[in-house]
Amino acid sequence: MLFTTVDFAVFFTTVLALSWLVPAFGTRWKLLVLLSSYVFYAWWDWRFCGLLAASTALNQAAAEAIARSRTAATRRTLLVLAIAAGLATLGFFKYAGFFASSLANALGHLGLGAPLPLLQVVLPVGISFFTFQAISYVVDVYRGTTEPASRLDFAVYLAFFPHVVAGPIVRAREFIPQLRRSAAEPRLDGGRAISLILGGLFKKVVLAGFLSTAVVDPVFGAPGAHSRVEVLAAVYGYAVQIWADFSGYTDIAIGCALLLGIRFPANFDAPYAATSLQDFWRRWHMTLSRWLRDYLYIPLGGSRGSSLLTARNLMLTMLLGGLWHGAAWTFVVWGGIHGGFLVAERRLRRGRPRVETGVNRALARLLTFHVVCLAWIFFRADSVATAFSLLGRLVTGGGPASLVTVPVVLAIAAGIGVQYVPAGTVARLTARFAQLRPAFQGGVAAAALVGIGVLGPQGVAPFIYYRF
Amino acid sequence: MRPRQLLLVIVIALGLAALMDARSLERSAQTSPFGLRRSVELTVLRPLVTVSDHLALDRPRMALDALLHRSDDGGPAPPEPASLPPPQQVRVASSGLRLRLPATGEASPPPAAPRVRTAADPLRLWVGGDSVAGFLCYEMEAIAEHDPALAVRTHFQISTGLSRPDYYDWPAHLAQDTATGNPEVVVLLVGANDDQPLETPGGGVADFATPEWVTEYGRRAGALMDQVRREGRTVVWVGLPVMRAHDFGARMDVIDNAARRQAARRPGVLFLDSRPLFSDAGGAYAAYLPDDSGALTLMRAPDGVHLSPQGGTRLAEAVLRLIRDHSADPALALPRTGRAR
Repeated sequence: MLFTTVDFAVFFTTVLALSWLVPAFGTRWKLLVLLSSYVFYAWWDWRFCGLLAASTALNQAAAEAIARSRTAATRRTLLVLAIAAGLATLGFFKYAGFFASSLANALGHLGLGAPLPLLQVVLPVGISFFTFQAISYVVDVYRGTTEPASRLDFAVYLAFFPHVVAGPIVRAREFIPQLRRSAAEPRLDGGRAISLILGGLFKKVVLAGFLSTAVVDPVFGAPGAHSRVEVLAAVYGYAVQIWADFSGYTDIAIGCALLLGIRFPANFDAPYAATSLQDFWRRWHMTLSRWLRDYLYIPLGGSRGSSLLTARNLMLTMLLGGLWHGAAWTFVVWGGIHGGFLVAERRLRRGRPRVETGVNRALARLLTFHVVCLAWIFFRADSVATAFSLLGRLVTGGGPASLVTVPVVLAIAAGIGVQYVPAGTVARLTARFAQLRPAFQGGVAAAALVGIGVLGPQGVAPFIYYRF
Repeated sequence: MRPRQLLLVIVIALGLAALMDARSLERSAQTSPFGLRRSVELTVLRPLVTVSDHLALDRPRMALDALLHRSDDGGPAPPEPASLPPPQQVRVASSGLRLRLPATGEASPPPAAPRVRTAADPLRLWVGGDSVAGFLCYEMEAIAEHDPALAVRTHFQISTGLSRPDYYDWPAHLAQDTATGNPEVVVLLVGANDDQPLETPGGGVADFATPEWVTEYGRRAGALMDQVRREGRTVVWVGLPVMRAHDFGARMDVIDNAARRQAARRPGVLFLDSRPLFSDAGGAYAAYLPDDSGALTLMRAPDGVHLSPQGGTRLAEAVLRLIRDHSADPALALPRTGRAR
């Protein structure tokens, strides 16, 4: 059930209305939200509800056992077992086919060809996100920064439908205390929530949907058939598409959660206005960035050791972050580009005072954006060869640019330009919308929905991050 | 904001949007598969359309559609049937067909002198279909990048087929597509979305896989083949690949067989059975198969329906082999078309 469908609108409105019939955050409210979340998840593939339930049971059992345990060794063993179980499940679903085929080919090269079961494993939607959340919960309980939640609270936290399929990756200590509030009739930030949902729909349906069909898919599908101007438009177009797609999804998720009275952390903050790669990762998929920082980079040693060790930790974090997207060299290169530039930035800046001028900032933004675009080429291409073919066409690709139409240029410009709109302006517009009378708010929202329907392409593809 | 105020906002937003967009929603419901859900949606939407019309609430959407030259299904306006050139007026490939066809008939082109494919006079292909044809299209274009004697135009449209011309009219779109570029060979792969009831010419509805359904689907496939043949082009009708889910695969077999029978009756129509290309030694679905070098390669998309890029390459090469094998002109023999990945 995509957020952009009528099915979801009906489902969500029904759940929302039902949720007001019971005391907010009480047991009946939680049971309703939990049941709704499993219905939402089953809509994708009911067979994986068992996996979500098993992950919930296993991690809650581990957290409770860790909290009860008196010896450090037992606590550590339980932690390792819980993490290993989560990562093994994730690894099986994400990488089994890749490793089995690689092993079969390697054995074949050695003359030891043996028929291996080459399963094409179906990836359960959202498995990365609920696995990461479960790991963070168990680790936080182990570290003593979070108390074990009640079983019902943890089940709601892991399965909560606004974030179960693609995040944001919310920490237990951010989410679960919100379930412990008592509110007979909560005051809802409805204006902001509706603004977020409408903005998210516009980003996903209009910007991402249009750019994908108009320029990105055709060029990345057959780069050799397109001119350098079209390739350049496709590269910029993809940068806007993936931002609009993922941040649009996130906006809708945050808006829906807000209507149910739950606040999610921000996940995007104008990433293409970043002045460095480090800055970019503070603004892009922020909840994953901090997860990687807290549960991978810092445990690896972070920046506490020598500059060489810090560089190693950065590269490892980014390469593993790349591999998380899938078992493909394209993702490794994507992670390598980010890791390499992060290391280079640290070395270049060490001991040098920054001269903050407008020109410097503009140049830094331009450079950062293009490094990110370079990495996106590998991220989007179906192979490293295709990515290099695209890069080659940027230099050698002559010919017309029939795909680069005025709407394509406007969409790219809008997608990048909006990153430079001050946050205060957006907040003021949202506040102004929230101050309208309910009837006017409804009217504006209706007009926006119709406008999005008119401007969007026929059919809307699933969100890009659903497959991670 | 209190819940009841929020509920008011949501009800007004969704209700007013539904009224303003009623025609589009109704059209969307009309083009959805026949069945209970469609009936319920239409029952709900028809009064909305009436109200919307009376209150002129549909005018803003219509004005926007007109401004953007869009049809109310969200896509570009399909060609008006009257604007399409009648088949007999479409220019037949000047060189005639150079393919040795399985049989000859009235519709077959006159024999012509062998022609050497060159960059100046390439073999012109049009390749298209539904989303399963996506990587066939992309990989055929990729092959053409390295073969100047091959000119390829492509068009695939997701969620389409022959079952719902009211949603997407392939005959009309194909006629429009092939009117430019003058392809000698039209390669079509459709069917994956066609396992649904069909409206028969008499106005009834034939349930999937019934004899009436097979007859009607065959009629539509045959008519599309005839349309292309009338324009003097060869048709390569690509059968659906074997599917991972057995029940879905069985449904696809019904569609494939209906199209295959029509192809067999028509000179100038080649049917490519793609199932062996994507099956293991036992004829079963296999996601990983040896490529040309013998390395196990992922040929299928994770959904077990669509192709991976490598699967697209395999299918594109098979299409070109089929064309080459049916060419009377040895000069048309295609060079090796594999692409390193």
